Amino acid sequence: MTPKVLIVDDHEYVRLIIEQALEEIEDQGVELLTAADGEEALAIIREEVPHLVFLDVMMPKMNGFDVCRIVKQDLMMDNVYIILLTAKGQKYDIQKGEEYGADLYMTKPFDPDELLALSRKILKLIE
Amino acid sequence: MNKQINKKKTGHTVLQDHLALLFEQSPIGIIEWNNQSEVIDWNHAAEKIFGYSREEARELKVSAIVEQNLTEKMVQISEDIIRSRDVIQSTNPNITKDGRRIICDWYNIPLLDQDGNVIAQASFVQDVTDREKSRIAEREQRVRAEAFRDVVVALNSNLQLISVLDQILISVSSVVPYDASTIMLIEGEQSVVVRSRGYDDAILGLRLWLSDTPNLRRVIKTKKPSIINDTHASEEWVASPSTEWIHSSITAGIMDEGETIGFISLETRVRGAYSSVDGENLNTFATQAAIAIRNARLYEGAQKAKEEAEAANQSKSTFLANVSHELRTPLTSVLGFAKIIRKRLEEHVFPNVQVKNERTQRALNQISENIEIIIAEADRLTILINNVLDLAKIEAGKIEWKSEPVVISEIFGRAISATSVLFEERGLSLYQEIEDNLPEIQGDKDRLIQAIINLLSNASKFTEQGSVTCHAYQDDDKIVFKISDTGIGIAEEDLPRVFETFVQVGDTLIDKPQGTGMGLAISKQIVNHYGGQIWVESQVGVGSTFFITLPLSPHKPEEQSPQEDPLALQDKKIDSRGNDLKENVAATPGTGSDRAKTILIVDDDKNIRNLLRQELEREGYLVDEAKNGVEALSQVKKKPDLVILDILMPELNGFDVAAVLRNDPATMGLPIVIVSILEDHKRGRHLGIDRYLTKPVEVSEILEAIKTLLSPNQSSENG
Repeated sequence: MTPKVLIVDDHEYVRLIIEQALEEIEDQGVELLTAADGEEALAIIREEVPHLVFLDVMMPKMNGFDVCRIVKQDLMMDNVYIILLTAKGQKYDIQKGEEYGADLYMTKPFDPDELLALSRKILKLIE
Repeated sequence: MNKQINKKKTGHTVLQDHLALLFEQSPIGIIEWNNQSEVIDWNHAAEKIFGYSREEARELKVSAIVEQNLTEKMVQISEDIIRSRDVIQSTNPNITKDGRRIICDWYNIPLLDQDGNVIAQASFVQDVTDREKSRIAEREQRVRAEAFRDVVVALNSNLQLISVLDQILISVSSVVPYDASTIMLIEGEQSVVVRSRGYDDAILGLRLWLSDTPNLRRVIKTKKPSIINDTHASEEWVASPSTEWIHSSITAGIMDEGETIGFISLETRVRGAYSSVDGENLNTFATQAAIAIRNARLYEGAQKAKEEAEAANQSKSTFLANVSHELRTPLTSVLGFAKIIRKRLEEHVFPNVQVKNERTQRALNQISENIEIIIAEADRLTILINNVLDLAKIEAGKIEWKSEPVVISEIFGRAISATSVLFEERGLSLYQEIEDNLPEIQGDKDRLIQAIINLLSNASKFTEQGSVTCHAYQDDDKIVFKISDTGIGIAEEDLPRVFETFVQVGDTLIDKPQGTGMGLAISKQIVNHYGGQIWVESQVGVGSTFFITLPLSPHKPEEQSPQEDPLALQDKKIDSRGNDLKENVAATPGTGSDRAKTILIVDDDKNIRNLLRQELEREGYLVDEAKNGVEALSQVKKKPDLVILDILMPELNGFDVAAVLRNDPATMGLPIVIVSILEDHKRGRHLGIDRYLTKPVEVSEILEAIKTLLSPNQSSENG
């Protein structure tokens, strides 16, 4: 099965960076999907069941916390690995993310290489 | 005595002569009455008391020397004496010939004949007006003092203005009696009743036009109390059916800095009730009312200012949180794309470019350098944003301050080792001198280290060559940190400003600002929190010396409960990359165990292994390393005392390593601390992991976990 990574952020450039950062694993056959808001993200997660989701927190329509909560708690999709991307990096947010079942937390600005290495590890891909 | 007088009527004796002299010369008035209360005779002293001569006196009835309403009482006394044949004492007001009102002590006795019949009466009388007046004054004084005391107590007990004004009305009543009273405050052209006693509560809020109330206008004009002793006859009194019962009224102005701001007004049903003395007394209470009103207004003002400041601070915090968010998003793009460009250039572009001429080569070099600058500057911007948030959080009082014993040499040592790389880079010598046996203080180690690091880093930035010297010593009841450099120094006029936020003194165009200009401000905030002081002494071209003093006596900073806060304080932490780790600062004292324990660090990230090795070795641990799970399993054979385990590792991941260790009887009890970005506490628990720490994590947290796990009462798990 082709591994899928979903990139969710309302900022086009941020989606672009993550896409470009993950170019190497895309070359290895990982399918990159993108969504610009929480609702779109949720629809894609239900449909495609990605292995890994990079999920922005502050987004229109539905925020990242709610997406995370629905996926992990309501839909019980434990196999979807969710990395929350936040611009704040606050304890409060981390706590909330944990409650909602996020697997990992990353603070903006992030390092594209770090994102790549992380994706490789989670998708169990070899460099 | 009287009997003797009667007996010796026939012949003069020496005694009789003497008694006549006594009668005449006695300083006490002596009066002989007949039973009809008419004077038979009185002596010289009585002449002086009442003003009537002896001859005049012989024509007097008792009613001449007593007030009209007391005549009856005097006659009554006389009758009582006749009936009881006993002595009656009294203190009465009397009237003199010239109409003065005096007060006299009376000692009235019956004069009995041989058969015991009352044939006449005698009185001994003394004018005690002065004594009585001072006694009355004393009593009034006492009442006033008590009344004032109650008011002052009310004033000083931070009561609501209403309570103080009510107390004033209550206290006034014991000094200047009334049936009803009001306190009014002037609002524009009106006077508003704010408190009242004796009136229906409906009077509260009643507004009187000053133009309609002549007596109030007069108080404002003359700044003196207004007294109306017959309201029904007064032109100044504005009559109304509801105040028909009032006959006397007295009003004093409440003055604030010479301005009448209100009135205190007393009314009574008695006509002619108030005197100018009452006016003076009422004025005193009006002064108290003025103080209460001023205090209340000041307090309201301060309270309002405080609320406004808090609101402003809150909106500043929110603003900064939002700004932080808004700044980070474009910053993510700048930094992210710059790094991707660098990577693409290095991996795909540069190796494939055929350099044909010098200009192309130069352009390639420039591109490469410029990209590095963009990345470095974007990194600097990230730190700047973090510092802004840091400072805002301290200023907003939203930092959780730890209180732990702090060993001075330790925090100094840590600050020095965290900044040593800065000094090495610039080729500066760093000397340190720490007094032996400095006492411990209570505080938050990480914050205090941060305060010192900022000074050291500042010293390194502004010192081109030479050295930086650090001293720590005790001076009386405080610890002094002194950091001297041989740098460019600070001009005298700039000295007071160096601890202000965003200020880098000097000509920043020439001096090239380095850092964010917030380090010293942060240090100041930290030092202030502990009741210490921070200052700098400097000479341009010679160098600067920064001082921090921290009080030894336990300074109890306000307990601040951690609040949910939109501003994250970016603690120095191990991030998932292990970057910036040099700055990481641990905060756990040495373990001081008898045998050095060995810690195995399993992590695929070299930076993290290096950092942990440094920190652990500084704590006195022996350290082994493994860069993946397979290596870890072979290192375990060397029997370490504890394993620090990363999860996401190539080949064999951390969970698998933990599973193997837990299933092998030889390593079953080996304490395992997971330090990972992966958060899977459930799986960790399942595997019997002793401690699960999630990156980013403070080094101190790791050290604390190790210390706890290796402490004697935990050691049974090891065997």
